[in-house]
Amino acid sequence: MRPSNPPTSAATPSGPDSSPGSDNLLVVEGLQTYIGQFHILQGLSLAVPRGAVTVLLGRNGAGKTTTLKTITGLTPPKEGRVTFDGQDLTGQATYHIARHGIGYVPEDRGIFRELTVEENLLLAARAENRASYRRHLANCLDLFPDMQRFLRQKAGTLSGGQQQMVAISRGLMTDNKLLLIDEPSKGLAPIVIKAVMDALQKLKSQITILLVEQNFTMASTIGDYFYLIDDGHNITGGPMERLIADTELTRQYLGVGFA
Amino acid sequence: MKVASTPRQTAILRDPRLLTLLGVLAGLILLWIYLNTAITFPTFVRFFINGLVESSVLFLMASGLSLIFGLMDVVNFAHGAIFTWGGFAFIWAFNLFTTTAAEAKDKTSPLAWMQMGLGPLPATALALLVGLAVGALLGAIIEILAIRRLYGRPVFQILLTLGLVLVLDESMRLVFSLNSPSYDLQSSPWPSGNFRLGPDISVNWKSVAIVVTGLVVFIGVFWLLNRSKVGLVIRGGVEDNQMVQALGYNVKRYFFGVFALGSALAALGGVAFTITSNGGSQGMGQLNLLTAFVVVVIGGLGSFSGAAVGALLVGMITPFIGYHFSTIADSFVMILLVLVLLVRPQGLFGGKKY
Repeated sequence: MRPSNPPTSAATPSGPDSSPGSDNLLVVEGLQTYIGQFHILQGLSLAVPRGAVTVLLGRNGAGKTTTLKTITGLTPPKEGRVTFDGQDLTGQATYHIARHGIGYVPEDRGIFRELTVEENLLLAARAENRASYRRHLANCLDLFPDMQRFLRQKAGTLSGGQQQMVAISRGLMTDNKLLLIDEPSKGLAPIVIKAVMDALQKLKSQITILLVEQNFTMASTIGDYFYLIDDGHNITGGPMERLIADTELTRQYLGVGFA
Repeated sequence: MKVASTPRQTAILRDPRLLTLLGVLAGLILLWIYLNTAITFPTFVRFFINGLVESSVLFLMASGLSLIFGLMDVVNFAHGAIFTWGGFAFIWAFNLFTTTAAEAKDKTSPLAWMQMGLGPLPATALALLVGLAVGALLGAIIEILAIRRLYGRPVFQILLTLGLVLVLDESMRLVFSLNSPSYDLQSSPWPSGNFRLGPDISVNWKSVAIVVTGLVVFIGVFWLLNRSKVGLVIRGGVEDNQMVQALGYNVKRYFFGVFALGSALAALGGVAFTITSNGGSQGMGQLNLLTAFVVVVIGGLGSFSGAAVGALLVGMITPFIGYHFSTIADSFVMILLVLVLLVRPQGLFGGKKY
């Protein structure tokens, strides 16, 4: 699509993985992903450190959602590698990748509207084991106590915030190691965004998270590390404090003025 | 984060399933009162039983169509051909199984071992398995070779399955070495004998068996869809198959299973049909397919219980209409379709899945 890429596209990911002694759960190298004729990811690389929240930032159309979809195998990459927990997942089927322990909370939540909330969670639990189901459900209800009230309700009748709780809970119904969350704040009222943010804060101790988020307040509050991408390749990355301090960068790529 | 609480009582009162059931019951009672003045009670019961048998055969066919067309949105015109194939495979196997080795014309045939001279009941049971296996196998082959690539592309599905109808129709003449379009059972698949309900009323055991089969299939598939994990994956997959994959399920395999199951049910319908009419003809599948499509649409696309109610509605009323107004009996199904769609364009249970 573009005549030439800026030199940054070829650069190795600068960020969490370059920090000494870091332990990366997910490493993505040089992804090239096409959707139809469009070249969406153009050499994207990133590393997600274990036990932290890594935020993927960039303006609309930068390739954030495609990055998550490429990791889950929904839009397989033409080139590049996805390594998860030491295993090469590149080119594997989506259901296989999921079974390695990657949960996915898509943009617009992707809940099953015709199923009840309980059925949504039961489906996500995969195993027939009742005890494990109860344990995971208890954990989710601990995180979202409100959910108890609409467990039996059809998921399609829920509000956006309630659906988001269900979508995140679905990712927690198995012993997933990594949760990919795509814009959890999208289309939600500010007070609901606050609730989702609180839940993600609590989640940080349980699971590694790769978060796509446009809401800068949310991203900067929850995130430990960040990656800034544009036109399908890396611009920069590093500890979140660096991004917060760099007002020039946030203004240029995120349209956020801080001063 | 307030939850909009659903008022449960009113929801049940507004449940279209319950209302329809009440409506059907009321209609039947009115019909009975009317007909009671015209026909005797034993005649009424006979019609009623005939209606149940017809409904069951129709339901067996429509149930498969409800899964494939209603739930998975695959327009499958070959469903009728699979119905005929299932019925013919049953006849073929039944005729072989009931032939004794002494009667066999060609003793060197590789199928000679099948000529066991079985009685009608064991031969029916075995031949039924053959019919089901042929249906499931045909469905499996069609899914793997063709439908798998065509999910969500209805125009291609129509073109392809219409072509398949021609292939399957012609090839069955070859496979079953038919000289004419009809194919008969060489003996009755069921021992004669009746089940007495009263002094003037007796019911053929064959009819009882077919109605029970329909009931068992309904309960079985309903349970599979609504109460089992497999059903959950299928219902989820129909709604958002990418998300189900992202949850770790191989959705393709489940869809394949549904298609094979739906095809086996079509074959079962074919078997039931050949048993009721002591044989079959090549056109029986396509003839019943039209009615089955109507049944699925009347019941509401995607609703399995809707297909059952639709089959009952069409199957029960047709014999009575045929008795009183024989001239419009054939067009009655279409009149019913128009009436239902006028009142509920989405079908009786449409919009409400499963």
